[in-house]
Amino acid sequence: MNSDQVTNTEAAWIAGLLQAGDSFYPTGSYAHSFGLEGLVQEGVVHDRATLRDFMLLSVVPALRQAELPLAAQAWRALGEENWSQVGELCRLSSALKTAKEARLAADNIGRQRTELIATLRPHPLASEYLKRSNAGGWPFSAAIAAALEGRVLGAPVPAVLAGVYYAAVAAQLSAAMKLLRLGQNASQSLLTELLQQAPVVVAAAEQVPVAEIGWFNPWLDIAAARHEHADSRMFIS
Amino acid sequence: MRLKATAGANGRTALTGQSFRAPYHVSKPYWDADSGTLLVQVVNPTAGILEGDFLESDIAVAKGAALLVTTPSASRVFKMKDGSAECRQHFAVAKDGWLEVLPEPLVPHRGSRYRQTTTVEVESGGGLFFVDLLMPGRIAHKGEAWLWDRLCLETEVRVGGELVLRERFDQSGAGLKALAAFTGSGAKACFGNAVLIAEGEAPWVEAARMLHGDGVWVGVSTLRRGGWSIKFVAADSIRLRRTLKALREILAANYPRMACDPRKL
Repeated sequence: MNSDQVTNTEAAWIAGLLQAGDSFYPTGSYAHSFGLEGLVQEGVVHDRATLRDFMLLSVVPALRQAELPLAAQAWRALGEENWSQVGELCRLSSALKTAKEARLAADNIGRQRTELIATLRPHPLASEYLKRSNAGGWPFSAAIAAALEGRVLGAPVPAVLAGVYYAAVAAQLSAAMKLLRLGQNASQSLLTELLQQAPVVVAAAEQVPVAEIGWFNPWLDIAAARHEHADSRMFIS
Repeated sequence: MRLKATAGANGRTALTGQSFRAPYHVSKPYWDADSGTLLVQVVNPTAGILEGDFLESDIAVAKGAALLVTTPSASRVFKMKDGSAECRQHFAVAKDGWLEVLPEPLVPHRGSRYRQTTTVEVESGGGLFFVDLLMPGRIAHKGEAWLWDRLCLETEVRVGGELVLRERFDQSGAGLKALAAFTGSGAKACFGNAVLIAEGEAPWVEAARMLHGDGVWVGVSTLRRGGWSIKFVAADSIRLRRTLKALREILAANYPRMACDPRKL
């Protein structure tokens, strides 16, 4: 019998992605509703049924056509150490968000997460990214930070995208619980339903070329823009 | 179609470069002395955008020149059997130049497939106001709406060479109809998507935000640098036009070249 210690490398990146997707991980996303509070203030989202519509009509398509393809493209570019492409994707990520609050939310969460990666998991890719990002003045991006973390952990692209999907949907539902009369079971049943769509959404997102990244919901952009000047608000975005 | 607007020694803008062929026709320009803007109307002499059409335009505004380009009527995108139609437009504005692009709305008919790609390059110190208006369809024709096969509107804006905006609207009619119903804008919802590139203070923002209400959604937010995104959704075309008119009046108080009346011709 061989007594050498056996390491399961998959377990290593799975554990890392679970840590990164947990609300305990201090990326600051808990302070954002990503436009939902604006839609609540406009009276569009007001209960579980309208929240479900919002998730299916707006959040999931935006993940499929923007955030997940950005993460997928960044994961590939980081793997090839194609730094000019990484820089272009960072600028694209910022330019896709026309509402200032949405842009700043992605920038702040991305910065926090990138700096955490460099602190918690010293890795040449993370330090090189930070060095080039600072030198080039790249905007930070939550999606690209997730791709970087995936590369540092050695996670495959579907797992990274599934992590981004989970984190985005869970953050939105967590914000909804503070904005609406929505209980734990109601939000978990909605989360379960949305997670069932993850495999299809992730597979579609992997196929989106850079030139076709982007999606917008005009009402969400307007609500996010109006949220900047709301008289009262609970969330930063 | 290619247009180049240049400022003369007398300060007046003139078209110093002009070439076009069907389906474009360019009207005789009109110099609006009050606003200091040259008004040009671009006409599509055919019924509208048809299967296989490829429309390409390139409009350049040189230093110190001011140009307003508009269309006299809505652009209807007709039903297509197998193929599609495409429009590629490029706008370039030099430092101290001003360009306003104010086309009438796009009306995609049942079974149409259309892609529009707009690229904008504004040098630092240049100004631009560009609006895209979208109707859900031929509402007056048995309520035909949201029935296009494919509609893709892409816009990319660079200021001083830096990408500040990239938008990609690629939604099915059913998807947008569902969003319109969900938000309460209804079956006849119309859209306006504007980009303003301008330097300096923006005392107009609050007045623009006040246009929100009575079936109209209006949002104004700053871009990464150099300008603003202004989006508006109205429950019907009348309110959409009214909102755009009011918005231009508000903006004209700060950007006098926007006082040029696009319907002057």
